[in-house]
Amino acid sequence: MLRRVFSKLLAFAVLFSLLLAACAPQTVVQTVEVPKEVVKTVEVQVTKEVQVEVPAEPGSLRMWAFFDLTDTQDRRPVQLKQIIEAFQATTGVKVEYEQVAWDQMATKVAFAHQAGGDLPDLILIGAEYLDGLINAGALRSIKKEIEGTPFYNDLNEFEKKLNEKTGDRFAVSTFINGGQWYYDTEFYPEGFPDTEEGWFSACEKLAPQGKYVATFFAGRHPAAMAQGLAPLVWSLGGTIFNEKGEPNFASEEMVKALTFWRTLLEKKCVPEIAFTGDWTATEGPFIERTAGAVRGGTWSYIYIPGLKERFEAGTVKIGNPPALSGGKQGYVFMGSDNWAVTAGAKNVENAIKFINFFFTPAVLAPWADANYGVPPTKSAMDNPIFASQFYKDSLDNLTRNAHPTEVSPYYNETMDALSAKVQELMLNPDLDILQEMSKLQEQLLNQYFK
Amino acid sequence: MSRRKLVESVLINAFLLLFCLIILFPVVYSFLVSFHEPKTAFLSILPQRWTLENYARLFRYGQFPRYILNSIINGVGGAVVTTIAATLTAYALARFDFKGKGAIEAFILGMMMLPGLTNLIPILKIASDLGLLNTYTLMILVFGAYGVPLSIWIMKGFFESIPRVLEEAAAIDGATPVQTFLRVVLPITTPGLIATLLINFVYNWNNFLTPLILINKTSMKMATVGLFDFQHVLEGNQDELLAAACVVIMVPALVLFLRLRDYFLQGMIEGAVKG
Amino acid sequence: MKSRGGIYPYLLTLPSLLLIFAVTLYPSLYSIYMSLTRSKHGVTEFVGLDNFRRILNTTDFYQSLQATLIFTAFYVLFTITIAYAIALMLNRGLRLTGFYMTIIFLPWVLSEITTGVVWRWMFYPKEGIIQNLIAPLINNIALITRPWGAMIIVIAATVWRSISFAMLLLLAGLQTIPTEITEAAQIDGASGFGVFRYITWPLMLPTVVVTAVFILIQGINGVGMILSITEGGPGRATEVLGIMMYRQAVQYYNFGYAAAIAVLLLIINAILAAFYLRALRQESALAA
Repeated sequence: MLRRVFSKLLAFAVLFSLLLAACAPQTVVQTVEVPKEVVKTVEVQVTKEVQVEVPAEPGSLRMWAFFDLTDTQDRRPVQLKQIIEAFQATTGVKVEYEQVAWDQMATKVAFAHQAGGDLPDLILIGAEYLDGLINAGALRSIKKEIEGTPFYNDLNEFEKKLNEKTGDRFAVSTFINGGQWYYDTEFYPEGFPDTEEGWFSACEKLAPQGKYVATFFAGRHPAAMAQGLAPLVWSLGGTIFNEKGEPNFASEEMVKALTFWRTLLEKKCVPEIAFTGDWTATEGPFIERTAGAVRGGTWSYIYIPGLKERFEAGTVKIGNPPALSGGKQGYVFMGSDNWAVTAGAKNVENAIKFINFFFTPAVLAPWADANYGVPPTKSAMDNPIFASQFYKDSLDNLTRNAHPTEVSPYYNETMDALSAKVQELMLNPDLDILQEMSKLQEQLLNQYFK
Repeated sequence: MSRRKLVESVLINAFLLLFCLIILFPVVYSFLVSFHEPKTAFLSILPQRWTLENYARLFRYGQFPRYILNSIINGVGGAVVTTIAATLTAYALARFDFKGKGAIEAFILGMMMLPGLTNLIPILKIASDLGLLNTYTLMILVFGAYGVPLSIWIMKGFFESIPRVLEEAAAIDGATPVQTFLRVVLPITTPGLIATLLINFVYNWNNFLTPLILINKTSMKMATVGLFDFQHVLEGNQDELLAAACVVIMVPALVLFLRLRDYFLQGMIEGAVKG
Repeated sequence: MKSRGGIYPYLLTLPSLLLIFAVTLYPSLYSIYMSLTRSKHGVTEFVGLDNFRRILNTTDFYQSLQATLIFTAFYVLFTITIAYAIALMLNRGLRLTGFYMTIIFLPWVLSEITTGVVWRWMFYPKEGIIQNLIAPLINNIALITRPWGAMIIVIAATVWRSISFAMLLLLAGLQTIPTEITEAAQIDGASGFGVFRYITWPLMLPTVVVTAVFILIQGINGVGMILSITEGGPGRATEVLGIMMYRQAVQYYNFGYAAAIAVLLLIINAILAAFYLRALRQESALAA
């Protein structure tokens, strides 16, 4: 009996080793297959705008992005696949595409960079991960290349605010998104309150009914601080980092911002889950209509169930972000998904060529739309798609309220430490805010900056 | 059986059954979630309408079947490498009294206790120097090495339980040491070999962090990493789909374990108790 | 008498040693070197013990150390206690022993990432099935959102996954105790507790220690379960040293810093390993 089982297992093992040997050569290069009909349609659209020279030896381009190109349900991977195919057909460059989950992209690039090699040429990456990678030395400056492109002068102010913060440039945005407050008109027929006082007077009416003024994610995540806490501090003229990028958040403004959050929690103006849950959990009360507003982003249009329908029906609108008492105005953060070239890229020329190809209005406008973001160029913005109510309101919101994220060599570390501390402060109202923040700031300075 | 013993036995069995229910619950629960319709996972324990749609979607999206194939290749390959290397070493440690044996044993035991995460960067570096990135060879070698220390202990336990008389008899009959090992010793330790293969396969199959860092190619990913991608690539809250992916990853390990339970248990006893 | 075997044993151990060297030892030594370096803007510089100084000067480290100690202490205590109780019951040779063993062993063959997801679901605030079951008992607080609650959940989940292994070790130990001894004691009039206290327990103590240390080492190094259930939160409540290292490497790309935490973990492990080896030697001395 034993021998039979064993020989079976062994046979299996041998079989798989054979299979392995058979598979090995195939897996070295995987290129996207080009079905002819698809290429033709896209080609017709795009070749009118760009004349790309076909060099003698076009070479290849290794690309990492977070889409599953076999997914036909989502517009984004479908478009990216068509763009890649059209690019291959017009330039002859072979694109080797790999899917990497969006929140693993930076990690994998950093690990590969540290291990000294095997980096892709071009990556699609969220703005929040750029600083970490730039500081790890994993990205290549593309200031010169981008400034030399035909579309450089076409880039709008948002794009430049995002990617030219330090004077150098490591990425180019494929669309701009940002924080956005969506409110329910049944809760707020006269508009969403955008001041601290306004929130508390709304709370007096809503809390007794077991309803919330708003819900937002303020839990353990660096982005929760960048999108939720920092805008409140900004509204009073404060900052999280000084000009050198060192934390200076142990401030009066921070105390006011956190006192605001604590009071909201204490008076049950916001659900507790805002401070303890995760991203999707905090959206629950808005979906169930127990919260009158939700802080999301332009992307929430796809991600929050029912939001799009409610917006189109006119029962949900885009409001202004809240400002703290004494502040001039509220803010929302700005974000984007960007093309960036890695420090170890072997095919920089092809990467730039691809970016150029990508930045034709015919490609860019539908791409930004599929992401529910605003296009990064003026000409793409002229596309009639962006005349819809959603884009008009989003653009209006970003123009008035968007604030670029701050810059620091230890941005992630600081924001993450801040989020852990804030959670502690929210769950334990006896802790002194200024004292705890000073301790944390001191520790971060010693731990990383000195 | 006395009355007291009967009562005792009933009580103990009742307690153990309850305990088994508690142990089983999370596993059963993930199966149940996977049969719910989208966005209904937490409305009721049992699905209001049972559906296989999540499984259908799982295999429609992306390259999940391919990921499973990769997991099998890397898992089996790693287990085979581990078993071969560990069997030879265990035999040496069980049968010979050579100089430096104590040091080697202590060294192998010590290697079981290293925290593995930071090792991945050097491994990535070596692999990239050798041009082994994103190959089955790399994963099989890495998995193969991971399993070696524990497997040596398992196999050593099995070898030590074999009476030496058999080998001595074979030697007297004129068999060479290699013949003795292959024809006499190995067949008797078949349960040990099966146990080692199984335990290592399950360890490799379940590994997440190693393939996450070492594999950069979609077509080479393993199922556990694919599961993670599902969590992050798909829009919104799709717990039901995630549950289906969890179940697909759980089932092979469950089936192997349920069918070949005694090998697992004996292997673990040999490895951890007698080692 | 064992033979010396000439060159054979060395040849036979070679493949294993080569594998271990390439995939475990060399990378570990390399990561010790990394712990002495710092990488900024792509330039790696040697900084000596600076990473260690920085780590040991933060309160975060001591918070994590504390979380690690609380986590492992309760985890080991509960795992051993429950596993021992189950092992004692199974040692009576019940008819359903095989069935029980199968069920108890299931969690062990499943991956941390899949089972962690399920545990998270069970404790989702408002929706989690176990959360809703216990909510009336704990003032309707969402357990996973409280520092102590999250700790309880990750301990429960890890215990759930490790009981089988500890139980197996302890059962194997129990079975080495000859039944004649306990039977003789019972005939002499010893109570069930007396047999346990004066015969089983002293004989089992070395096995218990070996099991405990083994479980402890797994607990200190294993982060998968905590990572997939709480990611170290809320606050830093469940951020054990392993998670702290994970964050530094995987989230912040401070590889030198992460390697330094790994070295500290290594030292803790080495101390435990020394205990383990000593306990093991005592156990085999007793068994002989």
